[in-house]
Amino acid sequence: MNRTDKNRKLRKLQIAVGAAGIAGLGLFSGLAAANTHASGSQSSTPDQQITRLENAQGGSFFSVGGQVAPPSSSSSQPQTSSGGS
Amino acid sequence: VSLARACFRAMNTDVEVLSPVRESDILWAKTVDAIRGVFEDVENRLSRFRPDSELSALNGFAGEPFPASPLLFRAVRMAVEAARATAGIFDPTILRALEAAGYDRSFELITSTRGRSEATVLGGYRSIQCDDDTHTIRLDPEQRIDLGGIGKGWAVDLALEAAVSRPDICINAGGDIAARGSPGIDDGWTITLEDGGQDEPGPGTGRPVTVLIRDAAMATSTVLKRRWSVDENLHHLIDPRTGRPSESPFRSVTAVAASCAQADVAAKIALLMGEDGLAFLEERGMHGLAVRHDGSTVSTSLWPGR
Repeated sequence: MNRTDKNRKLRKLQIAVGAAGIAGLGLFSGLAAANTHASGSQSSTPDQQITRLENAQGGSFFSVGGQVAPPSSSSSQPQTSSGGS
Repeated sequence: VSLARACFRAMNTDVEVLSPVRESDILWAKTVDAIRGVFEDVENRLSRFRPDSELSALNGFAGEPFPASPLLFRAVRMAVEAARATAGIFDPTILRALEAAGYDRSFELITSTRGRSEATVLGGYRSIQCDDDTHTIRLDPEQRIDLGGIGKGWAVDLALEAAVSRPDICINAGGDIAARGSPGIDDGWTITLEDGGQDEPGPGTGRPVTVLIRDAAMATSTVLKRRWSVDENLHHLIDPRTGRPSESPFRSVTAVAASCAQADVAAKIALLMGEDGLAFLEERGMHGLAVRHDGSTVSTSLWPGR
């Protein structure tokens, strides 16, 4: 791809991303609606959902790792498994 | 109240959603649809295997400022933060090494059983520029990134956020788990640890086969899966320090953290770091269990059964 083609493609992308932003960020568009319906209350936008996650994480990537309780032993029937990936 | 279970396929893995529901709960199906929508959005935008994904477009424009959607921008920024927090042992720029090792297409399509080394520069992530004001990302020329090491965990976190109205829910995407509340039976969700080995951790080792978590996330990283050559030890966990699949003394590590993205990265880092990996988790307040190749286990101090 030469530079002219690349610039043309980049301009198209910029327009596409801009349009997505205008259309409510173009992100999880159906999700917020479904969430509102599910909760029966006012839903946060998808962007707010990500922000909430980022705030919960608090700056540094592992900064709130210590907030989590350790797992405990269980002799119950498991509901699911951490099979690894 | 009974435990509802919904399963679907996304991000090349099985996704399972669990929640206690009443018979009259007509919103359960909508919750599952919303969760499925999150996974589809993340996969469509962040998969390196989709030539039309936004991530592929970013990789195609390395060297140029790329205007990113909020989802891609935040995913890349988070990956850079994770790289910084792990001194580059987690690094989204290892894609060339991953492809050189043979993982150059969706896993089920890999036919090669040979790999080659690709020199990597530890700290490649440092040259990724994320501009918060313009939401543009600039990669170095020739640089390409992969978000596979963090994207699935993040998708699970986002899915849990999407189901914020459910106080009791567990989402499992191929072993990347986020759990809120409990299924109503115990004070949390009971999870079996499986790493694919012949001798699962637990019997004979004094370790519990199952553990219970609540309001926490868990991920297991293993070299026994996504492996395309046993002879050449070719698997998907690339060590940026060598540019080759890891030669860790551990075959798997399970990590428990506050978020699934954290657990996802933490499990990989602990595995790549080997014997120092559990100390890394412990120092950051996370919990983990590592299984050596012979099936013996070692864990952080608060892991049950220790």
